[in-house]
Amino acid sequence: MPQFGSLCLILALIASAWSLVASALGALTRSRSLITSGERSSLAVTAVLGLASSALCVLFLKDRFDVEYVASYSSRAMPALFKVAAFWGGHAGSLLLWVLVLSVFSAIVIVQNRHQNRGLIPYVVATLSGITVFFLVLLNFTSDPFDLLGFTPPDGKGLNPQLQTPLMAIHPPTLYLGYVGVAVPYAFAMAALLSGRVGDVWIRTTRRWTLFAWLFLGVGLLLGGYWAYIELGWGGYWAWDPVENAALMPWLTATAFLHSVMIQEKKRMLKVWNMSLIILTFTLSIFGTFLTRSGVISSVHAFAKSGVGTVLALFLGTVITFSVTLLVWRLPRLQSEGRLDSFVSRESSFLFNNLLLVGICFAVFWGTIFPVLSEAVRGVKITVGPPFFNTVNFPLAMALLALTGICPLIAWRRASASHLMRVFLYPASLAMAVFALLLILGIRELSPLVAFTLCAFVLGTMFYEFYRGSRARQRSTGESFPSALGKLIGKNRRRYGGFTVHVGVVFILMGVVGSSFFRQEATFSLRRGESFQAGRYTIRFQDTSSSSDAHMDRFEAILALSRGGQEVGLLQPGRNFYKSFNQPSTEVDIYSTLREDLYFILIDFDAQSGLATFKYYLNPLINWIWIGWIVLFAGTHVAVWPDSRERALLARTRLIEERTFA
Amino acid sequence: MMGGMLARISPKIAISIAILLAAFSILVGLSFRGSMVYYLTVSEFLAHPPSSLDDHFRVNGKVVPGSISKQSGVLGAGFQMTDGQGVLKVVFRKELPDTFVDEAEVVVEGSMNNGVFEAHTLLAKCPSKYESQEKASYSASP
Repeated sequence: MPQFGSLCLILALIASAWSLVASALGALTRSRSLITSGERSSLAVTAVLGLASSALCVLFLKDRFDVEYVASYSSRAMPALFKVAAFWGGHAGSLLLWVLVLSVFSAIVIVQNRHQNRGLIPYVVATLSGITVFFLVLLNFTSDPFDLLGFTPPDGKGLNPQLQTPLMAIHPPTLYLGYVGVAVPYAFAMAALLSGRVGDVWIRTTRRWTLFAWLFLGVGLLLGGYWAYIELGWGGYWAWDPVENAALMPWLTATAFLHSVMIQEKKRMLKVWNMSLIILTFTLSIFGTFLTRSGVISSVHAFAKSGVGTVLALFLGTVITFSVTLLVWRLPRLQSEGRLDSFVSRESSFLFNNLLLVGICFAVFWGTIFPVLSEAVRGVKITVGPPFFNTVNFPLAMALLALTGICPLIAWRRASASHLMRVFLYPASLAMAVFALLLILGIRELSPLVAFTLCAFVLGTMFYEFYRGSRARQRSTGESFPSALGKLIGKNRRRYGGFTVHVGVVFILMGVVGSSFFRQEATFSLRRGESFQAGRYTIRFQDTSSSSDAHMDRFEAILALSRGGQEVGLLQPGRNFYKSFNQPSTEVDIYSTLREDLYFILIDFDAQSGLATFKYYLNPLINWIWIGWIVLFAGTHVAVWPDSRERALLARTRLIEERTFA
Repeated sequence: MMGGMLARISPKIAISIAILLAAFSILVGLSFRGSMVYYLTVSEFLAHPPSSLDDHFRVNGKVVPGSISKQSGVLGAGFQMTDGQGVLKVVFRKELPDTFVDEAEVVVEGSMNNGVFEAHTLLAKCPSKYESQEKASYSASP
């Protein structure tokens, strides 16, 4: 079985190398048979990698500890789910997952496009195969997950207890779907440059891929944040840790890209900018992989210090040189056909949106790599902590938030003053009302005042947009309001899906601001039967309970929670002790409401004196972060749902391009 | 490249972009200066003692086995950390991460006070956390 896996990896390397060569030659010589051969061998790579990955899963499930990778990340006592998740518990498996996902995406791209996008597809396949080759070289020559130990240990080391949660099963693959998904629009962009077909076809064809990658990167970030939040010692849901930053950066540039392509589709402007953004996004997604894997920057996540750092850096250099050379070569064809002339127009608001997103990305990048730079230049490592990221990004995020509210209200080209007055009236009044309310509630700090007021403004704008559109429809068709609203969204999925995403983003920001500026915490020591006060809650320490199984020892404190004399729930913060690891695992318990989270940690229990020590955090509005992500998720689905009008438009654009090139 | 792009943008917008960029650079510069922290190993830190109490440092080393002392009912712990050469006494008074055990790699941030490093943040990486150890460690088992 392990030999079979290794063989599959070698075959995959050969097939993907052939796919690269055949597709590139086929495209240059316009040889149909070579192109087809390239496509087929790319599909073969998918099949072979599928076999290799299945083999690795089987090795994990069968406890084959003679395989080094299995022995390092799995153990007999682990539940089957974690045995499968241990697949990506280490470096080699993560790389295999990366390249597996890439090959599956390549296969989907080929099946979807080989008849429709004949002009682009050989170049797309060549680009994707090139990336595949690189990762397969890494797998085959630096980190083969099928390497044997040479003997069979009685049991494996097991996955670290902190990683033994269902989140381990979904967080890394989700993030990878995002990281790898970016490769598809990138490959199409490169194909556009290589073939000279730099019109809108590549953008329209890959819009869903970009949204998909963007969504999964985002969901990956969310799951990571949630995991870090419920796992003590990982710094809360966001700590500006290098690995978090690494995933945030491509998400930011992908967000910018998703916005700026609209300008290209509608106004045929910003073509060079769009190309640059997708190159940047892909580079950052490779950089993210590199950062996670290299150990160059110390991080709580630093889960692999391996030699691949240099190789990945080399690949990164190649990608940048290749892409930028192509871009410069094709500059003459990327002339803008429109002109940005009005300051108050939707075009310029998109431009500023892009500048802000890239600005945030740049600040994050700078802060992340500064330790490495300062060490290289001055010989001392200087780091910048969360204060840097927060001070820089807060004003930028607020400006972005304000734009989110302003942009939909102003027209394309040029907006008139009377028009502006009319549409701003309601949202601005709502914002002012919220501002006054916050002052009455006693909030005096400037940052949260500004943030919440802007949140109210944007929510006002969004609901006004939905309301205004539905009313207009209702007047012209005589439908009922709900039906008019439904049809309005259904007929303009991109617009209203996008607005829904914005509502989600506002919720997320509300949660972030609430839980960062108004967090309370305290520590209490008490005996059974005693109670204490936390915010508006009374907490009584009732009892303790302990249990034990083959896997771990468990200890819990039982706390009764009441509010206004009414008992509202039980909290059971505790501590597990995993037997195969000499390490405790603190299990926090959280009482969640829309208003706040009561987050409980059992710090210590002294069995002799019966004295237990607890720490709690009161995190206001934090659940709006998760709710916001659900809204964002739903909104993205509205936006990606197949649309016949859009398909017709794509077909027309493609036809025009075919004629130009015939 | 930029020239071609800017030519198609009105002066008003170009000026506001320039102002934005300037504001952005000032913002980055100022926040940078305010949050720079030296990142040193234990021996590097001991070789260059801080000149004043306000100086902030981030120090990296390993927990000396057996040095962790906790008091029941009190948050945090006192411990010693080392990089194989120097030894630094550290005290941390917040809840400890689970990965904080003997020989764990730790990064503490804080400042010196009366010969003890008072940390306000502590990150700990368990020695065997994610990385497979040397094959040799299996040899003990039959």
